[in-house]
Amino acid sequence: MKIKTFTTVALLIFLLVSAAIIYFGLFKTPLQSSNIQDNLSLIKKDEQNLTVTPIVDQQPTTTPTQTSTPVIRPPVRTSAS
Amino acid sequence: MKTKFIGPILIAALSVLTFLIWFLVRQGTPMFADYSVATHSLGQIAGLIGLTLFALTFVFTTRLKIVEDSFGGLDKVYQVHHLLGSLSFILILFHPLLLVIKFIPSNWPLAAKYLLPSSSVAVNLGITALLAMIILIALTIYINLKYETWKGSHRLFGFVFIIAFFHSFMITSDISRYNLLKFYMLFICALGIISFVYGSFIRPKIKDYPYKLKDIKSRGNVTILELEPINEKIAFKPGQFVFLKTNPKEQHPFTIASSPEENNIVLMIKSLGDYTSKIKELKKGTLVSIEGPYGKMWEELSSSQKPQVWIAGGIGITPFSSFVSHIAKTKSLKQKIDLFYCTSNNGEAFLLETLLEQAKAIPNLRIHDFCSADKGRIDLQKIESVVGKIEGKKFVLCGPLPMMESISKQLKQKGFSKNDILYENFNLK
Repeated sequence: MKIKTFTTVALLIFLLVSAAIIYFGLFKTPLQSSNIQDNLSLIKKDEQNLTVTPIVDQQPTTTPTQTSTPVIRPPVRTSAS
Repeated sequence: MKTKFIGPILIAALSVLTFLIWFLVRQGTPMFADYSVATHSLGQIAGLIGLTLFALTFVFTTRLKIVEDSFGGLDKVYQVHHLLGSLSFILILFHPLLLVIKFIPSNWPLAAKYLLPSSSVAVNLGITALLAMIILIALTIYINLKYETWKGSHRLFGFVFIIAFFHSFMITSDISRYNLLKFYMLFICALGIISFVYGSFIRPKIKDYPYKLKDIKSRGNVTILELEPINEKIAFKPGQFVFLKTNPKEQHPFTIASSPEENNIVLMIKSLGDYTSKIKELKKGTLVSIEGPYGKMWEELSSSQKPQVWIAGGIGITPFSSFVSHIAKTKSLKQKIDLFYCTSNNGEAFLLETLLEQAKAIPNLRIHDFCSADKGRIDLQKIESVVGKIEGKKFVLCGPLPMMESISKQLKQKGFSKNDILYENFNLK
């Protein structure tokens, strides 16, 4: 009787935990579904199908040197007196 | 040391050895450093020890004498078989869970991936073995199948073990990484597979004794079979049991009621189920085969010098019939014996006259007819009122399980040790 009870409890734990893992693994995080590689390849295919308009980089090739000027703030009144 | 302790010690030693070998080969690598490594290690250990115990369950089905001797009787062997079967199942259930739990909560999809079929043959074999094991265990413990259907389904465990073996050796794991562990597990698995093949396919063909049904009689709901050997007579000790096969597919255990000195053997079978109800339809001259003998009751009781109280419940009189017949012929047991023949009504004690006749040749034996319709259920008080002080006596019980458990419980409450209470539990299923 005790053996049967232990076996039943273990089986229930296994079924519940594995069902939870499969549920959360497959359905709750669909973007990271069971086969990550598959998803990555799907994403790559999507990227290939897109008509991409090249973006012209209008940034200057040389970054101007910024010189920092100290900011002098007026004294702040802390009380109304 | 008594030989009946060798079996349990060997099981414990092999389980510990499995762990020790794993621990030895993993030296220098992190085993329990953090949550991820520790759960992975526990998963490996659960798988390894589970597989070891699973393999050992098949050793018990060989019914080899060395195995029976190591546990003190075939009934004890089957009790350990049940226990180990369940224990190995629990460990094998937790093996995949512990392996994937390290991915939780950071990567649920990866954890789920390992629990589902994939392109990996090794993983798929593991999933197949586990699912098949769950189904077979559920059939075994939750559904009351017919004996032969149950036996057929139970035999499938052998094939499940072979699948689990291939999973273990094909998958990347500590078994594939470390040769010492690989060869040790190979030895354990080979032991399991050889035992399965022997127990399921070879033993039934080589250990059978052909017999012919010489006579068949009915006494109420009990059928009495007298079997005559066709070639060699089976050598047995008083009170041992055999497996009777009236057709190639079915075999059931029954105690021999006759003494070893006789050429023919007598089996007394009470109608309790499908098979035992049909046994009375057998015709004289039918060829049957018997496998055995098994059981250690005579060895246990004849080795004790204590006065004995024998309690037989209904058809449980059969081993005592064999004992009495044997003692009457050989005068082999000198201890004082009180035999209680317990029945629910007067007509049920069909062996009483024969026993009383045989008891005339045994001065140290007293037979007490105990009919529960007149005297109520048997208990220690009633036994004491007949035999006097029971302390220092050895009790031998055979009959319905509730009766044996009740008397055994009362004796233990009185301070009797297990060694002084002898009974066989025939629940092989």
